Formats: sequence, C-alpha cells, structure tokens
Amino acid sequence: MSWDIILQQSVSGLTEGMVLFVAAAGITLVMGSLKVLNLAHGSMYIIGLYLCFAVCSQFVGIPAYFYIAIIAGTLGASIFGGLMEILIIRPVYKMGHIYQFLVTWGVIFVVMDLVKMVWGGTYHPITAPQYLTGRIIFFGLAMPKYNLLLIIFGLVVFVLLYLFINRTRFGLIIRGITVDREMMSLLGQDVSRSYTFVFMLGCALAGLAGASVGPITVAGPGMEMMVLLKSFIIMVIGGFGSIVGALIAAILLGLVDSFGILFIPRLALGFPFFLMLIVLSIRPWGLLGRPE
Amino acid sequence: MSAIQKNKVKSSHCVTLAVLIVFCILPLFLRDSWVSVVAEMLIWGLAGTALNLIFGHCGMVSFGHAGFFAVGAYTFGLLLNYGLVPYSIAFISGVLAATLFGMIVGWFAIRLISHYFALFILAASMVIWTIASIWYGVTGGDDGLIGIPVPDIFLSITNSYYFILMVVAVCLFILYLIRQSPFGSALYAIRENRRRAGSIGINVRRYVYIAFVISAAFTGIAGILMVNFLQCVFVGYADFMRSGELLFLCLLGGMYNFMGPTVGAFVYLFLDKVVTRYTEYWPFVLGSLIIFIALFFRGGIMGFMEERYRVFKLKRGEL
Amino acid sequence: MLLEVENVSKNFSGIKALDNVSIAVRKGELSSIIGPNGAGKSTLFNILTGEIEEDSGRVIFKGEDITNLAPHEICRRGVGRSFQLLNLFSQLTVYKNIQTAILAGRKLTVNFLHPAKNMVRNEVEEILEQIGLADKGNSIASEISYGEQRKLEFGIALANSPDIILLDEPTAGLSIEETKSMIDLIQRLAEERFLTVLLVEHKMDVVFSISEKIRVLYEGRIIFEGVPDEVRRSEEVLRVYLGEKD
Repeated sequence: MSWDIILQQSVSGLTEGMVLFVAAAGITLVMGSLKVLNLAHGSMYIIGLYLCFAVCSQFVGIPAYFYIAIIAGTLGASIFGGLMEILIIRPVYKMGHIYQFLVTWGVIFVVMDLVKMVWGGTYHPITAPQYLTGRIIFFGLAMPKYNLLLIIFGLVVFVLLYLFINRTRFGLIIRGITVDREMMSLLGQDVSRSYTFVFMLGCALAGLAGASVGPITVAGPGMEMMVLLKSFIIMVIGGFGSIVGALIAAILLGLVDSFGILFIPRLALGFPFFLMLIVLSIRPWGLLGRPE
Repeated sequence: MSAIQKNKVKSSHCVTLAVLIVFCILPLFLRDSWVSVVAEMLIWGLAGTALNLIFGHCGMVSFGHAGFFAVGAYTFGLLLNYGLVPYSIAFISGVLAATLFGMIVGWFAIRLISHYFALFILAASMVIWTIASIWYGVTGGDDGLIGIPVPDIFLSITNSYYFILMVVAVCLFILYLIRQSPFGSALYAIRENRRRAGSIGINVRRYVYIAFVISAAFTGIAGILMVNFLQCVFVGYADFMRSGELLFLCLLGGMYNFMGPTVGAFVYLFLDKVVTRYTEYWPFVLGSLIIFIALFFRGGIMGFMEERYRVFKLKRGEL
Repeated sequence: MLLEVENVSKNFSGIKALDNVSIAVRKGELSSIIGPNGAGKSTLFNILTGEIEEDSGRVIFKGEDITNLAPHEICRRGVGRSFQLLNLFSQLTVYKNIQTAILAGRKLTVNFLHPAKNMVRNEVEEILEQIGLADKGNSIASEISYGEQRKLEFGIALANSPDIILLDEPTAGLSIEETKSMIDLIQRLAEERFLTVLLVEHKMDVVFSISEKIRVLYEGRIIFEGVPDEVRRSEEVLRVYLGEKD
C-alpha cells in the first residue's frame, strides 16, 4: 500500500473522525452530566445542516455568509434543543429512563418530517467560499483544503471544550451536576437552568457538526440515524462524559471506516457495531469513563 | 372467591371467547386485502406482546428487538428458500435460532443496566442488519428475498390467515399463562423494585435472563409468521425503526396491560393505512403521537380504558 | 448463636464505615443496634444481607458462612430485612406485595404456567391479618397511608418466615401512637413466630423499652454492649451522644 493511499485515507478518516467528534462530544456531555440519552441527537445534526444550507442559499452574496450560516445552524439546533428540554424532557426526568428514550425517539420522527416540510426534502450541496475550497499540497499530495480545515477545526473545538469544562466556572457547575445533582441544588445553583443549558450545548455541538460538514456532504434519508448511532458508539467507546475519550474514539472510528472501506468494504459497515458490542461487554463505561 | 370476582372471571372469559369467534369469522365478510391487514396486525401483536414481557412487565427497554424478529424470519426464510429442509424443520429452526440469539445477546445484556442495556441490544440488532445487508449472495442484501416457497396450502390468504390466527392465539395464551404465573409475579416485583426483589429471594439476574430469552423466542416466531405470510424477507426486518415501532406498539396500546401491545398493533397499523392516505407526513404524526402518549397517556389505550372502568365502578360503589 | 459477625470492616474511599465489628446474636433474642447518624448501621445491614461486600471479616448464620452470598441466597436461608426508606413494590397491591414475597421465598416463582392467583392464599391472609392490613389487600401499595406502608414494609420481610429479621428503623416517620403500635406488633410477632429480631433504631424510648440487649455503634466500631440499664449508665455512650440533636 503506497504512502499516497495511506495519507489519503488518513485525511479522509480524520476528517470524518473530527466531525463525528464534535457531534459525539455533544451527546457524551449530555449523557455524562445529565444522564439523559438524547435519541434525537442526529436530528439536531441535520437541523444544523439544513439551516446552514438555507442561510447559504439565501445570503450567498454577502461576505462572511458562510460563517453566518454555520452559526445559524449551530444556534438553530441549540434553540430547538432548549425547547425540547423544557417542554418534553423536563417532565419526564423523574420517571425512569423509558420515557426519556420514548420522548426523544418521537422527536426523531417529528424533525424528519419538519425538515421535509420546510425544505421539501431537496438538498443541494452547500457552496463554501472560494478561499476555503480547492486543493492544497500537503506532504506531496493534493488534498482537499476544506477537509484539512475541518480537522484543524475539530481540534480547536476540542481544546475550547476542554478548557470550558475544566477551567471555567460554568464548566465547574457541569462537573458538579455530574457528580451530585442534589448537592448542587443545595449549594444554590439553579439546577433546572443548568440542565437546560448543558442540553442546549450538546445540541449546539451536534448542529455545529452538521453545519460544518455541509460543503462536503450530501444529505440523505437515514442520515440522522447514522450520526446518532456513530455518536453512540463513540460515546460508549470513549466513555460517558469524557471529551478526551470522545476524541480518541472518534478518530479511531473515522480511521477504521476509511481504511475498512479499502480492505473489506462490506464489513466496514458493521464494524462500528461490533466494536460497540465488544466494548459494552468488557468495559461498559468505556475506555475513559468511570464505572457507576 | 366472592361473587363479584366470580363474575369478573366469567365475563373476561366470555369476552375472550367472543373476540376469538369474531376473528374466526372475519374472512367471511372482509375483502382479502383487509384480511391481510388483520393478519399483519396479529403478527405485530404477537411481536409486541413478546417484547412487552421485558418492557412493560419487567421495566426494561430494548431498542433492538427487531433483531430477534429478523433472526427468526431469516433462518426460516433462508432454509426454505434454498430448499434445505422440510417446512416444519425450517419453522422449528427459526424458533431455535431466535432463542439462541436471545441467549447469547441476553447473557451479555443483562449484566448491563438501563442505557447500556438498551444500546447493547440496539447494537446487536444492527449487527444482524449489517450481516443481512452485506451477505448479498445468500440473503439478497438490501433487496431481500422474494418468492420464498411455502407449502401450497398457504397460497390462499384465508388459509394463511387461519394459520396465523391459530399460532398467534396459542402463543398469546402461553404468554398469558406466564404473566399470571408466580414467575410473572416475580417479574413484576423486579420491575417495581429491583433491590427489594433481590432481598425477598428472587435471583433477579437469572429471572430477567429467562424472560429475555422467552421474549426473543416469541418475537422470532412472529418473524417466521411474517415470512410465511408474505413469502419474502428483507433487511428492514432488523432495522432499528422496526424496533422503535415495536416499542411504540406497546406504549400506544398500554404497556401495563396484557392485551395492550395487540391493541396497539391494531391501532398502529390502522393509523398507518389511514393516515398515509391523507398525508405524506406520517412520521410527523407518529412522532407527535409518541411524545404525546409518553407524556400524558402513559398507560396507553388499555390503561386509559382501565382507568375509566375503575372510575365507573367506583361511582357505582362496586369497589 | 444464630448470627455471628466476625471482625467485619468496610472502607468507602478512605472512610472507615465499619472497623472490625463483631456481633453475636442469640436465637430468640430481641436486640438493637444504636448509634449516631453515619455510625455505620445501615452499612452493617447491607453487608449482612449481601448487598455490599465487606473488605474483611466473616458473617456466619446458623453455622454457615454466608459472607459471599448474594442477597437472594441469604434471604432463602432465613434472613429477612426491612428497610429504612420504604422499599415496597409500589404499583402492586398490598396482597401481591406479600404474596410475591412468600412465593419468592419458597422458590415457587420458578413456576411458569400455573396461575399464581390462589397460591399460598392462606399464608398471605394470615400475614395480612397479623400486620393489621387484612382489609387493605386490594389497595395499591403506594396509595395506603404511611403508617400502613410501614406495616407492609415489615410484612414483606416477615413473609418468608425467616429465622432472623433485620429491621432498619421500622418506626421512621411514624407518630407516637403509630410507633407504639408498630413496636407492639414487632414484639407480638417475634413471640408468635419465634423470630430473632435485630433492630436498628434512633428513638431511644423504643430501643430501651423492648431490647434485651443493646449494642452501640460509633464511627464504625462497637463501643459498648450490654443490657439497657448498663447502657443507660455508661459514660462512653453518654459522651458519644452529647451534642447529638435527636
């Protein structure tokens, strides 16, 4: 196998990995601190994607349109998530996990059709601004510029998130809620509001991932489920609540996917699931998580 | 038993008998296309009731029960398609395969709790889905297999219907017996308070395992019936959407009531046929219904009716 | 000796919940364990019933080492337990709560196909009668009064006709009359059913009125053991409870 191909597949895998990381970071954060499994996570991703697409097509002429579109996608997903948390998840916190699952499951279907209703199910690839597209010479090979930028972007998100969680006051609150919700409440924190915020952050990350991947992807049916499942897998392998774990797992998954397609194209489809099965059997709390 | 209890027993037996009779004579005055729908409803009712053994009855969510449906369906379908064994052996093999798959998945799954449990079974069903998708040569991949040879007797819709009715009735009866048995009582206890169940002498892990395997087996039977009826098998049988629909059946019909999933199956399939005629946005309706029921009607249809009945009886001073 | 606890210790991330605790309970004895909050009483019960593992030491019941057995196995050998925070089968009827406990205790729950409805009816009714809930059989457990729920809590522990019953604050939250009623119930049933009772309680009047023997647990150690009078006069015990708001 030539160096060229290795490089190519690595970049491709890392790109996918980074995008998945951003999405998975959202779901693992919510799961780790709120103990909520948001099945509609993939739906937040496509909301981000479609909003970005909508803003792009509307505002193509305006400078910085692309960045506005990405922010729009992120915010849109975040707000939707906030509404979701307040209206339908809050009532079921105290009722056992079944209802959480069912309620977020319902949202998947609702969003699936909402997207169809608003944008008619047609999707045209987003055109990113000129200076972001095209190829660049990287280690002697011509690589798509946008993909490389996405990789850097993913790392930046990782660093920012890590700093946010571990160095800011709000991050402290998140960590506090994770460990002991009641104690946080006694300490005077408005836990409900914090919950909503964390949930919105999780959805924002999903939306961000969806929006940023716009220029190099095509929206298709079942996309939200693939994103959901892959985010799950990353979350499980990396450990509930662990950002670092999510990064490692996401990169792993991305590389496995891209190299897997080379060797055993058929099995690559199922490898993520096998991986998840294995990890759940041996270390249910993931590589970097904590046993409960 | 008091007189009131004796009456209750008699009346519920009568209702069951009446319902059975109605189902038996349905083909006489319904068009074939509707008989088909009812047959499908029965199959889904069985699958839902099987799932409900661990869902409503034991309190555990499984996002991958379609996996067992598919294992039963594919085993049966493949054996028949390639003419490897006679019909009855294929049928039994399907059941055994689903049971075995249930035993393997269950062994790992019950060691996990809540979120992990739900995800694990999802992953297991997606593995089946993947295998079915990529093994094109054998399973027909995404296209699936059609025209599976079943014994001539099943070529008539009416005959198929009666066969399905018979098998489903027997299976539901067995599941009912299980529910009413001391084993069923133990499962209820596990649902209500796992910790206390352990401290009164129930080996929680073992009981949940057994319930899981039974659930897998009967779901597999439903899968077999589906293949028997439609003479085709395809990847969608293992799809997580399928699993979600199974859960929804239980929720809609009432997961705390034995007939809930079956009622749910009927209403769901009916809604599916009707709603899709008026709007293309069936998923939107479905999703909204799921959310609505999960928030406000946790007992489902049967739960709602039971509550009405109880209030009715209270008002009449009979409780 | 019916129950012997030998040098049991338990650590929770650095905090010594139990430190070399040894207890011997004689058959037929009605005794108590008292101690300030956090002394380790519930932890001890959890270890006795197999819910958590001790770091060291042994538990011997009826001559058998039950140290590493699971809760359901310990229950089957004749240990009953009630909990400080109500641990009922909330959505089941009172009748079902008791019936399930009896069926489980007798390993009748392996029965798949026989209807449970009329099984062990006499035994269930007997217990309901004894705990005073005979007329509440069809009520849902979560819908009866707190006092009745506490009785049910006790009843479930009794259902399996255990040799020893561990009661963790059975009168928690009860009024003065209800407390007296509960204590009378415990005493009466202990006699009628030849039960050995090990009680954990906070209410001193309760403890002193019915215990044959009292053990004082403080910071994971048994600091005193004796009959009520001795405990009352002990200086160490006094020191431990000084400043304790009760």
